[in-house]
Amino acid sequence: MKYPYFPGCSLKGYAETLEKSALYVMEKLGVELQEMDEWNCCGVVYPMAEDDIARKLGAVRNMLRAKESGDKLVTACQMCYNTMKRVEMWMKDGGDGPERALKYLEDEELGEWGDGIEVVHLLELLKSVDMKPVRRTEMKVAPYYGCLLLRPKDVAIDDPEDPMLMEEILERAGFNPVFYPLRNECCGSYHVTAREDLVKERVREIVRSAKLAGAEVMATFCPLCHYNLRRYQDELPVYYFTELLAVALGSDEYMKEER
Amino acid sequence: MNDDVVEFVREVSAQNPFSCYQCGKCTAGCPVAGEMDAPPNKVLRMLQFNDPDLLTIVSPWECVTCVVCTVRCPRNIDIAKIMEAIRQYRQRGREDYVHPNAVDVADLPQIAMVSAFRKLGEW
Repeated sequence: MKYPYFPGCSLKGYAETLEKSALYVMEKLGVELQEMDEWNCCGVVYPMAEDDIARKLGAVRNMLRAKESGDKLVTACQMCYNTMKRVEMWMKDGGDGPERALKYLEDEELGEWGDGIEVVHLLELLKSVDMKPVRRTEMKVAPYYGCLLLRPKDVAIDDPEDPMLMEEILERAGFNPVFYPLRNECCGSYHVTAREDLVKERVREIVRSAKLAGAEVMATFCPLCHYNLRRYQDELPVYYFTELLAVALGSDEYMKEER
Repeated sequence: MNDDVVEFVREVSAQNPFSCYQCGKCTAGCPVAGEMDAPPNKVLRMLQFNDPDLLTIVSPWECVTCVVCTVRCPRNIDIAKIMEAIRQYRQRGREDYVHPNAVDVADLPQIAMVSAFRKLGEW
């Protein structure tokens, strides 16, 4: 299996460990991710204003470009997933907005939109691949979903109120997932730029919830959740989800920090 | 741009604040309601009454677009979109909550900065 893959800005900067471990894991599992040509910013946040078409163009352009090499576009970053998936839905709803978006991009000769392309998150690929861990750590892991994989409903990759996907995959990879109520609660996100107090409070509650459930580590897919959860507490180590899988599949490169 | 904030919000969010019946589920689920000067259900009420304080409350800036309110609304109002529309009304009027000069970007993930300036900066 081979898919076009969209990395996004953070995976080439702050979150390079996420990209490295994700590519390692997928290769081990027999899935080839081919970084798409000439990608640009996904938009980072979905522009929810109906009249805000310009800021959806980046995502539309990416989807048009990726269409040449497949009918699915894979992302590992939660923000890229959410933004591009919502733009995909908006395009597929049709109407005046999408028509205008395509008109803006006409001169770039990116090909026809047709039926579009399906944006998928790496977790959705992991759902259906066979996984044989070379080591079973039985480590107690608190998977952290955050917001962007689950909300709004039409882009949710699992039940927004009671997701199980991360737990199932962790179990198959030889970990011991713990259940805690705040696994799909917001970490405070971009408020880290202006309202540290607010993020600290969110992180404190989320980590407390995970600890009460007996967690030894936390695992997430979102570079921003990763940053917030690491910066504002030192009770639990926080890793990218794919770092854990990489360790289970035989890599010695990840999860080595002493914390 | 429509000068009337309620009309602007209806147009730009494509949501109808008048279908809210004040059950309070949005506020119950909101992770930052405790910080807000007007929690989500009150913002909806203020829209119904065209309350002039809509232009000064801090709540729309404090909303972090986690979309819990939208998922739980029994009236299917996309409350996150309403919050976005109020922000947009004020952003387009050259108001901001975060200015790039005030953020220490040293080790932040790239997505933190772009999302913050889109959500909380001037349009």
